[in-house]
Amino acid sequence: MRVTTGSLIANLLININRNLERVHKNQRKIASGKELMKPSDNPMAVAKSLLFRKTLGDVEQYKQNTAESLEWLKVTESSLSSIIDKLNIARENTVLASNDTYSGNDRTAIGGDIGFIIDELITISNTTYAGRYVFSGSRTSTQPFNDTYDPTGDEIKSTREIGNGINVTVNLAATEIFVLDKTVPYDSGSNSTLRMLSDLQNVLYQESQGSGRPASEEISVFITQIDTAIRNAMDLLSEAGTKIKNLEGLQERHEETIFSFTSLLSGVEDANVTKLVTDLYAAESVYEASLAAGARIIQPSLMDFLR
Amino acid sequence: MVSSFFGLHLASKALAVHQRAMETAGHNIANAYTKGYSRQIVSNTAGEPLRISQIETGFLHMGTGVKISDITRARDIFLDRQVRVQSWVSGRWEMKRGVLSQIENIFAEPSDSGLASSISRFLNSWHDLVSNPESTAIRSTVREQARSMANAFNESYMYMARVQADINENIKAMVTEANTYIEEIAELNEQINEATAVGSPPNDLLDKRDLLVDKLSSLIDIRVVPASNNQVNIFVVGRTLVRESEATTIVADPEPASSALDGQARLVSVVWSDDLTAQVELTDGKIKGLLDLRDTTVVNYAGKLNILADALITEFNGIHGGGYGLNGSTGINFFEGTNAMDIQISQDIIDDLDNIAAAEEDPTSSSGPGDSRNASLLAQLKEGNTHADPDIDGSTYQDYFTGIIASIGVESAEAIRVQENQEFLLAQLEERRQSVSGVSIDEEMANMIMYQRAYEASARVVTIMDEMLEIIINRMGLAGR
Repeated sequence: MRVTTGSLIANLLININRNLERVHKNQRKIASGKELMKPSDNPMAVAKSLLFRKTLGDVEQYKQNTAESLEWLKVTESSLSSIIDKLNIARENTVLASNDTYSGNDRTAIGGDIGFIIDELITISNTTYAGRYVFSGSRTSTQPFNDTYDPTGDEIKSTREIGNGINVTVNLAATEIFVLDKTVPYDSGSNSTLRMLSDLQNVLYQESQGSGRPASEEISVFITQIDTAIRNAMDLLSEAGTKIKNLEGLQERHEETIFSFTSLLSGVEDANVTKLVTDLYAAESVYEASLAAGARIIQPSLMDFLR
Repeated sequence: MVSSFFGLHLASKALAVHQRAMETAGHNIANAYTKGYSRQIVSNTAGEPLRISQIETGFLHMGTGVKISDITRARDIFLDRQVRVQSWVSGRWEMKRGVLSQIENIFAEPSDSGLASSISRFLNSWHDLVSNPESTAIRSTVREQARSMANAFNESYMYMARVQADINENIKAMVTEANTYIEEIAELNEQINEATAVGSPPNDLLDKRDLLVDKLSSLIDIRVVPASNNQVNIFVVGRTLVRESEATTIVADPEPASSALDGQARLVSVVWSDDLTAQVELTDGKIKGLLDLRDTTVVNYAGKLNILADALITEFNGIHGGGYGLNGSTGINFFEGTNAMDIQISQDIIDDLDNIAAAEEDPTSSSGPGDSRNASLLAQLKEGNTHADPDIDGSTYQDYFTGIIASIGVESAEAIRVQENQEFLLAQLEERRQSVSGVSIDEEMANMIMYQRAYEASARVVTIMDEMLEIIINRMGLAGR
C-alpha cells in the first residue's frame, strides 16, 4: 500500500488522540473517585447502583421507623409495668382489708391508698411522648379519660412499616388496658378497672361513713377483679415486650443490611484507585510512546537526504 | 530533409514539458494537505514521428521529442462511493451519540441529587408523617420533598424539551448547509461541463466538487451517478437534488405545525422546495438521524417521564383525596397537573399544611390528630406496582425510573460503540483513499529530482545543438585562412 504523508499524520493524530482519551478517562475517574460518571459508562452497573441506592434509602427509613416504634413501645412497656406494680399494691391492700381483723379505720386508710393508686393510674395513662398522649389512640392531644373515667380518646391504631411489608402497631389505648372484660367494650360504669377500684374504695369507706361494716366477701370479690386487671396488663406487657425484642433484632438486621448495601454500592460506583492509578500509568506510557514514535515518523522525509 | 534547427526545437519542447512536470509537482506539494485534493499526474508521450526518406533504407521514422498527453488526477471512484455510504451512517450515529449524551447529562444519574433520589426522599417522607401526623414540621418536610420532586420533574422535562428544540434548530441549520452544497455542486457541474467540452478534465474543479459531494453525503443519503462531461447527478430516494447544472433545494418547513414538547418550538419537516407537500424521503445521514432523535428518542423518554409523573399524581391524589386533613378537610388533591411538565403541589397544600390528609377519619370528630392511617396508605404506594398505564404497570415508581435510566444508558453506550466503530471504518476508507489520491512528499521529491535532471539534460542538448550549429555557421568554409 502506498503510504502518504497525509495519511501518516492523520493516523498518528487518531492514535495519539485515542491514547490521550484513555489517559483522560482514567484521570477523570481518579479525580472524581467515581467509576460511574454516566449511565452509558456501564448501564447494568448504573441500574444496580440505582437499585442499591433505593434499597439503602428504604432501609434507612425502616431503621428510623423501627427506632421510633421502639421508643413508643418502650414508653408503653414501662407504663404497663408501673400499672402492674400499682395494681399489685392495690391487690395486697385489698387482701389485707378483706381480713376480718381490720377495723373500719384501717379500711378507710387502705381506701385512701386505693384512691392514690387510682390517681397514679390516671397519671400513668396520661403519659406523653414527644408531647403526645400515648394512650389516647389517635386523639393524641387529649387525655385518655375525663374525671368520670369516660374515654376521651379512641382505640385507633397507629402502625409503622418497619421492613418491606412488615408492619407493627405501636400504640395501645388506655381503654384496652383498663377494660376488665375484654369480650365487651370498655364502659366507665361497668367494665373499667378504674371504676372497679373506685367501687372498692367506696366499699372500704363504707364503715367509717356509718353505712355499716361490709362483709369480708364484699371486699374479697374485688381481689379476683384486680387479678383480672393484672392479668390483662401482663398480657399487654408481654405483647409489648415481644414486639420490642423483635424490633431490636430487626434494628440489628437493618444495620447489617445498610452496611452490606453501602459496600455493594461502593463496589459498583466507587473508583478502584489502585487499579486506576496502575491503568493510568500504563495509559500514560502508551501515550508517550505514541508521541515519541510520531515525532520520529513524521520528521524525516527524502528532503533531509538530498543535497 | 529535416530542418537544421529541428534539434533546438526538440530540446526546447522537452524543456517546456519538464518545466510543466516540475510545476505540477509543485502544485501537488502546495496542496499536500488540501482537503479533497487528489494528486495530479503528468502523462508524457513521445511526439509524432517524423518521416525521413533515405534512399538506402526507405523511410525512417525519427523521434520528435516529448509532449504532454494528459494531466490526470489519481482517484478511485469505488472508494469514493464507499466513503459516502460510510459518511452518512457515521453521521447518523454521531448525532445519536451527541443527543443521547445530552439526555444522560439531564438525568445525571447515579447521584445524590438526581430525580431518583428526590423521588425516593419524597416517598420516604410519608413514613415520617405516619410516625408524626400531628407535627407541622414533618408536614412541612413532606410538602418540601414533594415540591423538590415536582421541580426535578419539571426541570428534567424542560431540559428534554430544550434538547428537542436544539435538535430542531440543528435540522434547520443542516438543511441550509445541504442547500449550499447542492447549489455549489450544480454550479461546479456547469463549470466542469464547459471546461471538459473544450479540453481535458479540470482536475481541481472535480476535486472541489467531489469534496462537496462527500460533505453532502454525511448529511443526506445521496446516490451519485456520473453524467456527461464529468458532471454528476445526485438523487435521494426517488427524486433529483442535482441534475447537471440544475439544483433542487430542500426546505425546513415549519408547516404544518406539529407539537413540540415545550409547546412552543415549531418543529420543521424537510420538504422539497418545488413541492412543499412532498417530504424528502431520507433513510440515513445526519438530518435523518436528527429527525429520528427529535421525533422518537427524545419524545419517548419525555413520554416515560410523563407516565411516571402521571402515575404519581393520580395515585397520590386518589388516596389523599379519600383521607382527612388535621382540620377535617377531605377530598383534597395533593398534586396538580397531569404530566412531568406541569406536576406541582396543589394550591390547597401550599395554603395550609393541615390539608395534608394523614387521617382516615375526620380528626376533628371521629378520630384524633394522631390518626395516620391514610398516611400509611400513601407510604405504601412506594411499593405499589399496580398502575393504570400499561408501560409502568408491574413496576414500582423507582423501578420504572431505574428502567428509564438503564435504557438511556444502554442506548447511549450502543451509540458510542457503533459511532466509534463507524468512525474507525471511515478512517480506514479515508486512509485507503489517501493511499490512492494523497500526496507523498517523498514521491514528489523523487519526481522533482527526475524532472530537474531531465530539464538539465535537455538544456545541455540545447547547448550541444548550439555548438553544432556554431561549427556550420562560423567555422565552415574557412579552410586555409
